[in-house]
Amino acid sequence: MPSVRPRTGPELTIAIAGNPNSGKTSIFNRLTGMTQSVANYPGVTVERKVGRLAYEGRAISVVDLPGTYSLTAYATDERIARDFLLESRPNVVIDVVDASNLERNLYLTVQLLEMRAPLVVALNMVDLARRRGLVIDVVRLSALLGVPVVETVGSRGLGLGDLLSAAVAVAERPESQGTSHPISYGHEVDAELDRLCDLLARKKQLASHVPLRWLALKLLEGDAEFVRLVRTRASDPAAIEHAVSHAGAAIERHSGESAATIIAERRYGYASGIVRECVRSTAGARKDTTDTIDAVVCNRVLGPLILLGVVYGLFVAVFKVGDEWPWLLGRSPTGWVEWLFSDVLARLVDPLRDSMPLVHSLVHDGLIGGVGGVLSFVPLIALLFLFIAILEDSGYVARVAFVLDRLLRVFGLQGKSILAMIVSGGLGAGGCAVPGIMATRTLRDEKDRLITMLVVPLMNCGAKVPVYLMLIGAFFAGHKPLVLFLLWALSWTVSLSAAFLLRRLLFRGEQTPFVMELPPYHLPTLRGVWLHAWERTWMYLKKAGTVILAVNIVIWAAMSFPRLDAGSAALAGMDPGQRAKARLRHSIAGRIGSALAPLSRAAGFEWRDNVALLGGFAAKEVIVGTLGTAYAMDDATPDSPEPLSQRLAADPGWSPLRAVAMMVFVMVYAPCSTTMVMIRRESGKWRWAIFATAYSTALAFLLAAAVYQIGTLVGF
Amino acid sequence: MAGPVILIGLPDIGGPWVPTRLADLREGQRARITRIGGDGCVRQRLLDMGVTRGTPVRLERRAPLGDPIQIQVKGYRLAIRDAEARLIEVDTAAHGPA
Repeated sequence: MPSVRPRTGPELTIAIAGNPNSGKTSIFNRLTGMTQSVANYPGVTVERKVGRLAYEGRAISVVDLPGTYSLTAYATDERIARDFLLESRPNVVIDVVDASNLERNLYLTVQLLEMRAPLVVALNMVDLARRRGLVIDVVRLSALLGVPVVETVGSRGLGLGDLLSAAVAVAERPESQGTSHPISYGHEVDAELDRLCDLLARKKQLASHVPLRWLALKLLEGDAEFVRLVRTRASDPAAIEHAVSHAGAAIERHSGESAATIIAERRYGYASGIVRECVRSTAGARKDTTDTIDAVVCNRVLGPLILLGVVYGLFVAVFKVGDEWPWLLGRSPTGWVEWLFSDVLARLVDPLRDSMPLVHSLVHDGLIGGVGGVLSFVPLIALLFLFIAILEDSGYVARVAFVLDRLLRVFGLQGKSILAMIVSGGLGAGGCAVPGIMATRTLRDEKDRLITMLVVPLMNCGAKVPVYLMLIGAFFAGHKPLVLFLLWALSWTVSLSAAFLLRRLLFRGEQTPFVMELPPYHLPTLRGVWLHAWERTWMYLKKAGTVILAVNIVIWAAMSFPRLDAGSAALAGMDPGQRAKARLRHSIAGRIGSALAPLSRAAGFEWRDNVALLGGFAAKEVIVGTLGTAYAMDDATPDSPEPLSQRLAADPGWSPLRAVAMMVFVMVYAPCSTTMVMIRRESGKWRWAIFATAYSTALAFLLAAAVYQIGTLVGF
Repeated sequence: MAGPVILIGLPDIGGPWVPTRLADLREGQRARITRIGGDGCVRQRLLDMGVTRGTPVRLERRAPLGDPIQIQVKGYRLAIRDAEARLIEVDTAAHGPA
């Protein structure tokens, strides 16, 4: 792997473009290794990956553009890729092309040529093409395209040295590439294009960063972004728009098809012409492994069964291995993190408990609790991404979408949403929305992804279960399996209905068409899978960790201030449990809880419930403990909820109905702070995190109040 | 003008044929695409993925619930929903009954 050395020349920027599944990510990984950083493009869910390397003393930064099939304005990732090319003007663009699927890959190459991008083609996966009996004349291909073509096998790092030196050579002498029009669209269209170019050339303010012919093509295609550019920037937009519609009408009259259709067809015609000239097939078309696997995996009966198995495997891999099975020297990975924080670090500050109670509380509950909370997710996230990377790189995730699309479409979701829902708790036995939100990364469409992100926190995650168990223990002790099953069914119903409503109310408009490549299966590389998991886990720690810690401390403060002094008259004659309760009621959170009581009474909740639920904003695990404090119990923890159960069962203010309202509310209301921060990270906007909190809390209150009121009316 | 120019005529799609929708093909049946309907985003997306006039296509299989369908086009596999497959007219005669 090239190492990073001090810069000596001016830094070069290389952008890597290419179709999804062309192997561009493995080339990017090979080039940049552990130097890469991942962020989102501002305001959207599309990832921006940047890495660095040094080549012959030159510092090079490498940008992995989103994988796209084309460069239209319809899809967010395509718009981002082309905006980057036009505005950031990388010194050279490496177009990664799948050698075994040349025709469709060259369709994008043609467009890159038309954008006048300084180009090097990486003819990738040549080993696979060879195995399929394809012989590609690289010299001829390079001559026809007018750009260097380098054979590579990204997954094994072959040909990357040649690729880099070709790229640097182009970057240093961009003028070496031809300036001709790379493709003719036939007499009629060419003539119209020339006329438009002449007109556009006279409007100089437009031509600043966009090649003229490319602009003319985009206008003829009716590309919304460039039409807007003309409208806002041209001195005389009406004349240009008139000329464009005139040209479009002429083409349509002549060919009987819209200009956009003719342009796409000619591009493909050009691509297939090149394929005919450069590619020879030595083997006849035969059934390959992918067809054989698909016959089983997409089979009407076996397909769903295999899917169920894989989804269950994902669940086991993440939660059993990460959290429940004590396979690692007597504990699970999460168990070790929790041990470190609650048994080791928390004990260290014990001496402060009496001498400096406030410092003790801050360090013990705020800092150690907060950092421990952040780190305890790490094993889950790492395992989730190991597993998802394997599923995605192998090509199976596309089959998940294929098999389940029809079912989930009913609710405004997409086949791949199922992975996020399962991880978030869809199997009814634990789960977590934090890795769930991250699992939405397999969804390409922005709207699908946002809807999924907004509904997965409604699933029954592992942290809600102790609340259920405590309340079931108090009021439904004989019916534990039945109540848990009903809660599981309710969580699916509520989140699917929420998706249905969000799609109809908030994300209306054209749904991105479901036109999805089913890539050939292949074995994921260890390196690719490891990098993927590492990258995501590190990002979680770095970006989310700090914010989550801050939120935890704010909530700790709200439950601790203002303080009642130990010597305060209000505490006189109380036992420790009662003191803690009085302190809690005196705090900001206690006051908010009391202030909300008149409203929350509609759902049967009093101030103590409100405080506990406020604490649940930090983490749902807090609810049982806080409720214990509010009922002046000394020892209620999620691990031993029995005393609290007995206390509530004996309390005349509590009824089974109130318990049901409480369980419904806990299921649906506000995602915990970690989940909220993840929504912010993954959607790119605080707006969505706040919306997720607001809508789910409102919905939870409506449902809980409905349960309580109707139940009271009916006489429970 | 430096660099090669390749000019490809539109494929000849004449001859008598019965218009069928891609969505109506049987599993395993081959045909040739004759027309793409729809507009805007859907149409452009289909064109970008190589679903263009004159291209041979084969319906590989339907998903377990009958929709979407998996097709083979330009040497790769594509999944599209029934709604989109209804926009695509094909000529089954070009390949004879499969």
